[in-house]
Order: sequence, then C-alpha cells, then structure tokens
Amino acid sequence: MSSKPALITDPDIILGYLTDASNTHGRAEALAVPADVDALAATLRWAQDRGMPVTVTARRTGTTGAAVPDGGLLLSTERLSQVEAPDIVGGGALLGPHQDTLEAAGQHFPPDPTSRYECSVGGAIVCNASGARSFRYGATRGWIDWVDVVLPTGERLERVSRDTPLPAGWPRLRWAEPPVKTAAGYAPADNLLDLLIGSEGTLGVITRAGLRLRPAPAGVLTMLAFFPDLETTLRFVDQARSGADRARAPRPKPGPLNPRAIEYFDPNALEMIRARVDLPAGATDALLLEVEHEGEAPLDRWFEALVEGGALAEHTVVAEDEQGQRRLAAIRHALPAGTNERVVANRMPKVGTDFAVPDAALAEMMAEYRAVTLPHVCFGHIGDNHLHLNLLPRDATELAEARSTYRRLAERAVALGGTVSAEHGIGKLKRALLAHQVGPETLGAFAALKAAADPAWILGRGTLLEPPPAPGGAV
Amino acid sequence: MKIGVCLKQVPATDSPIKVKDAVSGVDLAAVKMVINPYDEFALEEALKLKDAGIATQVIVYTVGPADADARLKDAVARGADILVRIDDPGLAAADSLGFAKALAAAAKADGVGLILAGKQAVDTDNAQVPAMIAELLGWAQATECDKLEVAGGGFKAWVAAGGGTRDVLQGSLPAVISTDKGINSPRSPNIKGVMASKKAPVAVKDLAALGLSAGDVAAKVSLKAWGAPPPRPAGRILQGAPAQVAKELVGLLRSEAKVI
Repeated sequence: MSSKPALITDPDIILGYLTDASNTHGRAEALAVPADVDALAATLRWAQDRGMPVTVTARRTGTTGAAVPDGGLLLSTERLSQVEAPDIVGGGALLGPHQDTLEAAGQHFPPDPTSRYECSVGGAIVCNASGARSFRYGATRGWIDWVDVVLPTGERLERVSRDTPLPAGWPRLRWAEPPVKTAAGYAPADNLLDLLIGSEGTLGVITRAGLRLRPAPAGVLTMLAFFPDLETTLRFVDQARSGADRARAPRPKPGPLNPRAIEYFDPNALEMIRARVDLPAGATDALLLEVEHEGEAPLDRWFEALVEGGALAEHTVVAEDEQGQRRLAAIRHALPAGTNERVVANRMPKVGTDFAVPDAALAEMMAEYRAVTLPHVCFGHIGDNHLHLNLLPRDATELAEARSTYRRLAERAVALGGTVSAEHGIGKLKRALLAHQVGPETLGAFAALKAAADPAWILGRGTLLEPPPAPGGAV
Repeated sequence: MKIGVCLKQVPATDSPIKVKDAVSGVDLAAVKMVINPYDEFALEEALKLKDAGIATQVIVYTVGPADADARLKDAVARGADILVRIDDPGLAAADSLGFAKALAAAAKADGVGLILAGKQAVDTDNAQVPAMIAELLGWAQATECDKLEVAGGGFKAWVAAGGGTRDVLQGSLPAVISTDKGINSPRSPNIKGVMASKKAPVAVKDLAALGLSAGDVAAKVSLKAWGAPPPRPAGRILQGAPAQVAKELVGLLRSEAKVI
C-alpha cells in the first residue's frame, strides 16, 4: 500500500476550495497541495488504493462546477506553477501573466478566456478554454503541443503528444462532434493529447504543458461599431467573416475584411454600457471588432465596409493603441460586471447560456434569443455563433421560467446542429444537456472510456457523467 | 474662449523600466509610450467644455521630439482643434520650470483663457508644471481638481484637501487647473476623427518662436544620478501548525516589524 500523503484537514482552509465561479458549493474531507509531480502522483495512487474520490482543483474559475467536490479529497495543482521556458509551463501556472510576459518578448499564446488572469494553464487545457479571439485562433486545443499528465491510477506520462496513442484498454471514441465551436463531451480523438484536452479533470491531472507560440501581431485595431437593427448587424457579421481567416475555415489568403474577433452587444447590453460610451441615436446593436495588421491600421477599408453595410459608421469608436484598447476592454468587461450587479440586486441567480450553432443557423438562434421576454442581456462571440444570453429572473416564478427557457433554447441549439456548451464545458451542472446532445449510445461510450481510464472511478466524480455509487474510502 | 491642454507623452505604467546607467537615465527604446493618464482627464474636461459651448477651441501643447506626434494626433481624433509641439535643443536638459516657461509662453501667445493639465505626469511624478505655469502667468490656479464648473468668466473647482476632505475653490479666469482621477471618463475617438487626425498638422515651435532663449529655460535643478529602487526583500512564509504560526507571526510583527 502507498504511504499517506500530506493532507490538510482544517475545515477553514478547505472552505476556500469548495466552490468555483458556478457558485455551487461542495464538501471535501481533505485537501492535498503537492509540491511536485512525485507527490501528486503518490497522492493519486494513495487515493486509488482506497477508492477515494478525488477532485482536481486549480484556480476555480470554471462556471460549471467541475472543480466543486462531492466529498473525498481535493487535489490542488497550485504549486505546480513553474515557468521553465516561454513554451513550457507548469499546469498550475497562471495563464494571463504568462501571456503578458510572452507579449513583452514579441510572442503570442492566443487563447483568451475572460478569466485568463485568474485561471491556470492546466485549467484552460482541461476545459479547452476559448474566448473572443477563438474566432481566428480556435480554442486552447490548437495551441498545446504536449502535456505531462498523471493518470487516475497515479501513472505518470511525460510529453504526451498527438503521436501518443491511447493507453491500452482505453476505447477509441467515434462520435460526430457538431461542426461548431464546442466544449461538450470527450473529443473523438485517436491520440491521448486531444482526448485529455477538454476532459474536464476526469481523465488525468495536467502537470506541465508545451505551448505552441506564434509571433505577436504588429498592430491591432479595435472598433466598436453601432447598428440600427439586428438584421443589419447580422448581415454585417456575415460580410465581415465571409473572407476571414478563421479557425473553423482557415483561409491563407483572406479577403479585405479579416477580423480576428467579432463580439456582439444586444440592446440591453448597450444600456449597460451607456455611462461609458457615447451611444449614437438609433443604435440598437453593436459589434466589437478586432483586426490585426501590419503597418497602418486599415481604417479606410473598414469605414467603407461599415458605411456600405448600413452601420452607424461615423460613430464607430476606434482604438489603435493599448491605452485605447484598454478603454474598450473596460467597456466590454462592464457587461459581466453589470450582469452580476443585477443578480445581486435581484437576489436571484442568473441563468446563462453557452450554446453555439452553425453559421447558417445564427439568424434563427438570434431570433429565439430576441423573442425572450424575461429580463435578460445578451452578448458574446457572434463570430462563432456563440452568444451568452443571461436571463436575470427577479423572483422564484421567473427563475423557474428562466430554467425552462434555458432548457428549451438548449434543445433548439441542438436541433439546429449546435452544441449545449461552446466554451464553459459540462461540469456537474449540464450533464442532462450533454446527454440530450450526444444521445445514450455516445454517453455509454463516454462511460466505458471513463471506466477503462479510472476503474475505481475516483477522479472528477460527477463531472460530465453520472457516476456509479461511490466506492467509499476514508481519509 | 480658447482652452490650452498640456499633454505629456510618458512610458506606459506597465512597461518594464530599465535604468541604463547612473548618467544616461532610463532606456526607453523598448518602452511603449502613452498619453499621461492624468492629462487624458485634462483633455476630456476641455472637450466637455467645448461640447457645452463654453470653449471655442481646444489647443493641445506638448514639449518633446517628433515621436510625440502620435499622442497629439490621438487628441485631435478625440476632438482637439490645434496641436502645438515645442521642440528645441535648449529644452533637452530643462527641468520642470523650463518646461513651464515654454508652455506658459506658448499658451499666452495663443490667447488661451484656461489651461488644463494633469495633476502630475506618471513618469517623473513631479506635479510642478501646472502650478509653475500659473505663477509665471500670474493666473489663478487649482490643483488636483476632481470636479470643475466653468461659467461667467469664473470657475469652481473641487480639489483634494488632504485627509479625505475636499476644498471648493472659486476663482476668475484666466486660470490653470490640474486634473485628478475621477473628474471624468476620457472618451474614445470615433473612426472619422481618427481618419482625419492622420492628416492633422502639428505646429512645431522652438524657443525663439516663443520669445525665449536656452538660458531662460536652463535647468536650476541638477540631477545627480539615476538608479533603480532597491529590490524589495523577499517575503517569508511561516510553516507549521496554524496556532504555532500565528504565535510566531505576532512575535515577529512585534519584535521585527515593530508594527504592533
């Protein structure tokens, strides 16, 4: 039997690890904060010997409860935060600060989740995190070359890459992921790296990662463009992305408009930012556009396109330098902050969507969102047809209505060929939606994979899949 | 009324600052330059007064080399009317008083009735130039203003008075007001403004054009040496059982840090 690892059992310390950004609360009997990979692997072996549930916890910025434990042991990666080289970092290293260091040296690691200054690299990998710039660069998956991982059994694997086959006995998943940005379910991958990416802490613990870097762009132009109605806005989205070099449709020779991100603000979102920006009369919707460029910013080209596209073009707010871009970022970040203020004022949780649909279904999905009569605010990654509709119920009746609206919209997104989660993942909160999206056969294949990888089913119990009864095991 | 705005180009506050050596100062080669954030408040306040019809023209002044033009053009993109850059070899080694003399002469020559400037520049943090301009011109002044009203040839300025309190100063124009955080939220330029700003001319004036000589602006303050602040000593993490660690911490706060 393995020897007992150093465990923290002080409930006051554990308390700080029992929740994530989903605001759900869990319970755990003990916390391990291993100082190195040896200690981490020994902890997992010890738990495996006892059949003790283990929940990996990094920085707890997830919104779906994947890091919220349901008893057992919490295993924190926070001390594995070493930066060995610009492209080699520990799983517990913070993402945003490392990206800043890279940028200062002219390099770029593109994934830009909103939580990047709070989240860990390992967390971003197992959540396959993405953000606005995923339109151009795709999610985290495309920017990871290899990882070191400790499997649920405590087995250590180093430099797991796309050349690494699945371990013996792990079934190869074959299911058709929807053709959209998605973070729902295990990837149908034939290699271990791609399977681990997006596995939400159920198949292993990422202890080190090899990042793929690219040169930082020479210049970035950011624009906040206003539109007189939704229809004009959507037409412009189609125009802006038709020639774009985007992750889902790479185009080595892009057209004249080649944004790296297209973000959307609905009328309620515009109300929320009214104090921070001069809203032109007649503006109902807005797009935040980011464009990389060499030399002079392509202002004339975009102005012309906005005029032709029917935007309130002259009022487009522009930022060419970091100072201006920070101002626009503050406007963008006022939306989640404003939403949370409403949540506090309402004393009711928000119900937020994370669905994405194919390009052809965007208008239909937007019409569904627009028809919602409950108080709400809608913004997000429209370039990827991926909007966050935040329903803001004011009482219990509206909360019930919001939940049924959410469920109905999720089913609609699936019916349109989309996903129930484009970036936040499934965690513990959206298992039913995942089941609806993939169907019983694929769900069964997920469970068979999980059982092969983790026979005692100790790691990340309750995330993605309904777990079998706990084997038990005391600390 | 014309309003003059003093605008300084400074290193971005998140740029890593390296001292080259004790004599030649800071290495600015790889540093991003931005408008001094406090000057952005001054510019915004001037633009608001223009929007309200109180000012007819906003003239932006800076002292510095041609690479400051990009910052000046940003001001035009937001709505400033005239850009003036004061550039003269005589100013290369000037101190705050020299800069204040140049700026005061330029603003006076243009007939401005109010000068707005940030309360300090975030590079040298001297906070001297606005007050010096006011003294040189014999104008009223209010520094660290976070609320301003201008009407009927006078102004009312809310300024920090220490200890979290504020004074409300009333005075008559012409005046120099230095702006603090909280006075406004600087606007972002719109696309038409940015496109037009690319072609905006910058009037470059040397000391002679301002009726000054190199002797007039010669530094009275001499800089002895440049150096980085001493590195912060590493923190200490106390290990052990919480009760023991708490006891040890209290002991250290008392005996070593002497804060309790």
